[in-house]
Amino acid sequence: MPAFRLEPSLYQQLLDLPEHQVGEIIGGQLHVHSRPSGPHGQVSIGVMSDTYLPFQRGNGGPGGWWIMPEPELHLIRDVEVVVPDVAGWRKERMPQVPQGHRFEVVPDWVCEVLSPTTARRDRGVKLALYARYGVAFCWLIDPGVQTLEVLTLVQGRWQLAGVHGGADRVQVPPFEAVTMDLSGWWLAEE
Amino acid sequence: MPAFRLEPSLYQQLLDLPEHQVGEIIGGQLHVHSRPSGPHGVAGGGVFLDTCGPFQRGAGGPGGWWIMPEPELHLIRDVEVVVPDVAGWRKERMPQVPQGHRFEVVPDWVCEVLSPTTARRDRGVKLALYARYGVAFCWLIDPGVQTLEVLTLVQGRWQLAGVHGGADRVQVPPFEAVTMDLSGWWLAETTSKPLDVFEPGAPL
Repeated sequence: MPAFRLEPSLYQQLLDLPEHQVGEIIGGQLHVHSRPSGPHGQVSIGVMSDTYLPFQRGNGGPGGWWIMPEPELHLIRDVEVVVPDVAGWRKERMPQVPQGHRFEVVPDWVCEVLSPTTARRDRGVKLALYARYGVAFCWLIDPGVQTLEVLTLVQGRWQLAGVHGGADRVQVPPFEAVTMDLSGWWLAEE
Repeated sequence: MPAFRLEPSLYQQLLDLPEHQVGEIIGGQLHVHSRPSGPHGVAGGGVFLDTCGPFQRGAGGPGGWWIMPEPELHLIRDVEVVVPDVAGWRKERMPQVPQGHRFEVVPDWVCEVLSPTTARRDRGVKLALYARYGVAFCWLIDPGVQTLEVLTLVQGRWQLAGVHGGADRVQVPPFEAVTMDLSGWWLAETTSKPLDVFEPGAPL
């Protein structure tokens, strides 16, 4: 007589991960990575602060967005689950921030900060996933080489709108309304 | 009476660089980098071999291309000069390979292998330059994270046609006619599985 053992669902396994690990479920596989390194975290904070004040709070910018650090995006509830470093929604598309931890409205913009262990997945399956669900803008930031790649979704395909880096001062979609000084994003000296 | 001193032209400065350095002139500036590191060279060599056989020699593929390692491209003669890691031309666009070292026909395809010191320039000014001169396909290879990004020029803009990596077996433009096994491009052990796939029961 066979013994049955109930495997916890992938999403339960994700929830059971220790605090210092981030889980994502892509194509039926649970991916786990550790929390950001120093340079990685510094970039996320830089992007957050450059977007949050002008675009969520309307402080020095037009407002009209929700900007969230590391939201748990449920592109399919509990099945296709990813965590970008930063994401943004136009308030007309998501009038209210969800009460729980599941974000089920596809964001208008995501920002991924690349690290050596996640770069392949970020550029590969995650970009493909964001395209499939219609995220309109994606920023890829490589703190190692200090670059910002701005991608826009055009007819379901990612188009490279621009590559910036170092101490560039840029106005880039979807946040052209404000000039951002990239030099504040990098930990290492220019 | 002022003393005049003739500065050598940027291109003369490029030619005067020592053997172990590669010079490029972009937007009126001379950029210099050293010759490829081991992992960089392995990736560049892999791409060259996987393309030259089937697409230049017609061995296991359709032929019809010139494939060149590190050609000196003169997008403007002696003024806008770049050296991709590998480049390819359809023979109908460049029937003859130039006798000299200057390649003045814009290639149909370029491949840049990224290194920490050149990645920003490769993704930035060089990609922009290739778009401006109408290079139709660009591959960006990062040996550090073992990825191949395939970009195609659509109405003057780079579009991401696909991202592959590890031990993927791929058919990618403009060389869809042949399946390439990327695992030969990397120096380090590789796997087609992302490095951090969670396997139940395995230690985290």
